[in-house]
Order: sequence, then structure tokens, then C-alpha cells
Amino acid sequence: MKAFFVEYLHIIGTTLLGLLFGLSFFLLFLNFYHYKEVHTTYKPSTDSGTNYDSIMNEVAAIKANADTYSQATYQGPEETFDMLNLQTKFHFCTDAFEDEEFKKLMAKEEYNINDVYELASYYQNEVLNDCIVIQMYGLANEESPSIKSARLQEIAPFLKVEMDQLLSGGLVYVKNNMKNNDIFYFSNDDSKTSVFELTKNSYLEVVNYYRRSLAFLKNFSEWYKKIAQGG
Amino acid sequence: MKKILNGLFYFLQLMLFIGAFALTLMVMIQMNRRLEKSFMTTINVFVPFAILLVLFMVNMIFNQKTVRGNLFYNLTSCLVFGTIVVVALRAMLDHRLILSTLNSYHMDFNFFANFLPFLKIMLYSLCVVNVLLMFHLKEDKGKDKGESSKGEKHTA
Repeated sequence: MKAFFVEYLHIIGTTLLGLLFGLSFFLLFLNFYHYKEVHTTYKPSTDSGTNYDSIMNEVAAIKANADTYSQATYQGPEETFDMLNLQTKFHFCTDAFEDEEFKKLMAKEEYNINDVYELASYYQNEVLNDCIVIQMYGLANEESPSIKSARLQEIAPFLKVEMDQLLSGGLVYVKNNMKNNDIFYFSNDDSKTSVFELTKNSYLEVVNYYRRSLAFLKNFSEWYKKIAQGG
Repeated sequence: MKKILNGLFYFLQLMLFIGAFALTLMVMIQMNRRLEKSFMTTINVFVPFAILLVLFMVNMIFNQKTVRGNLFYNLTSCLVFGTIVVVALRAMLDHRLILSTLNSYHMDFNFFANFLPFLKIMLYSLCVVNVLLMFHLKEDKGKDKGESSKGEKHTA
């Protein structure tokens, strides 16, 4: 009877050892695979020019629109101070794109997940916070606008809608999702998407945010250009 | 050949055990310092290490060959401790993990914390297996003695 129990204990022990071997083997090699995956990079397509070049073309267009206003030649009804104030705001926004740090982040040929995270952080700090919130959002304030121009007040509700859309975009979600790149075991909704896909999708999403902000600034600068030309 | 392999894995197992314990201790100390928590709150992580240490010493003192000479056990122990070492090193050195770059500690505590349940499961399982193999040892000795005495009788 004793031998029977000991034999069974031995069988249980060996079975447990087998399961443990499987688990540790799985975790060890999953780690190697995850390491390899985390270190893969995404190379954006440059068939129709780089993203940096196309963004800088937009920035150049915004700058050109802003520079249309000249204090010496302007004969329109708007206050000189208001027009200069708007011009400064446009220049402040375009400066964020002409910064060396932005060039370093956006002109890369290959992106790893950390680069995309930094690109998203730059967008959040320099474009969304410093440009859209601090410089532009006050213009659309219905109760006490930072510039009291009647023509600006006409388009203020539209500006507000567009800026609210930019601010309520899921950038925070994209950033938080990137933080999930340290989940490596058992498949769940977060880790199902591989890290490479996460890098690629996050990069495309972040570049899309940049484009949306630039499109807003460009449209607004077109309006400014018309005003500056006396339209 | 089996003896050489056994010896190799046994030695490797002890080295990796020390490495795994040291790295886990390092990460846990940093993690607690960051959270400003007492070290005593994470003592449960080190309980299986302590039990295993006691079991290894028992194996050594009583020269339990069914545990020490078990190639599969030694190999599995190496894999378990190796996994702990790899995870701890990645938590400390792999800066592609975003959370490791977000704070000034340069360590992804979340990555290691996710692994803690597996660490406990694996170490406690090793303890249980070690104890189960010990039982086998006593029976084997009795069996061997019985068989050898039977053999003596037969030859006589």
C-alpha cells in the first residue's frame, strides 16, 4: 500500500515537473520573441514624398498666408493690433514645426515604438497644448474673446468646433495603448495586436493628428489672408 | 554522459538561483522605493526562494540523489531560474519598453510586476516537486536494499 502511494506521488511529481517545464519554456521563449518584436521598426512609405516634406510644405503655406499682412500696406477695417496679434499666433504655431527637435523626430527613416511615443508627446505638448489651446482657443471664446473683431466672431463657432474635435481626439488613448508594449504573455485584446502593428498604427494615427492640426491652421490662415488682402 | 550533464545543470541551477534571487531583490527594492512602501509588504515574493534554499540545503546535506541526480528536475530548475533572470534583466535594461523610459528609474516595474504571479507559481511548484521526489528517495533506498538482499539470498 505504501509503495502504491509513493509510486503515485512520483507520478504526480513528474507530471507537475512536466507542466512546470512547459510553462517556463513557454515564458522564456515568449520573452525572446517579445524582445525581438519590440525591437522591430516601421519604415514609412516614401513613394509620394516623406511625411516631413509634406508637413513642411503645409507649414510654408501657413507662414506665407500669415505674412500676407503688412502693417504698411493694409487698408482694411480691422485693428492693426488684432492683425499683428493673429500673425504672431500663426508664427508661434509654425515655429513648433520648424524646431530642430521636430525635424529630428519626423525626418526619421525608421521608427521604433519609443520614437512614435516621443512624436505623440511632442504633438501633445508643442502643437495641441502650446499652439491650439494657448494661442488659438481663446479666439473662439464667445464670452470674452482674446481678439474682439466682428469678422473673427463670425467664424468663431466654426473654429471652436474644429478645435474641440482636435482636443477630444483619442491621442491619449493612442499614447496609453503604446504603453501596453510591455505585455508579453497570454493573448488578450491588448496584446493580440503585435508590437509591430502597434508601432505602425500608432505612427499613422499620430501623423494623422499632425495633419488635422495643420489643416485647421491652414484653413484659418486662408481666412486671415483674405482679411489681410482687404477682402 | 548523464553524470556530466547532471553535474553541469546542478551547478548552473545554483548559479541561476543566486542570480534570480539577486535580480528579483534589486527590482523589488527599487519598486518599493518608488512607491515609498515598506519592504515587508513584498516579503511574500521571497518566501518561495527561502523554501527552495532550505530544500536545496536538505538535498545537499542528506545527499538525496533522486533529487540531485534527476536530470529533468535540474533542467527544469535551470529553465525556471533562467526565465526569472531574463525577465528581470529585460525590466532593467530593455529601454524599448515605453514605461521604462517614462520615469527616471530606467526600469519597467509594470513588466516585472506582470511576471510576479508566474514567478510564484514556478517557484512553489519547484518546491512541491522537490518534496515529492524526496519521498521517492526513501522508498528507493528500501527497495534497493530489499532487492540486493534478495539477490544475495538467491546467489547463496
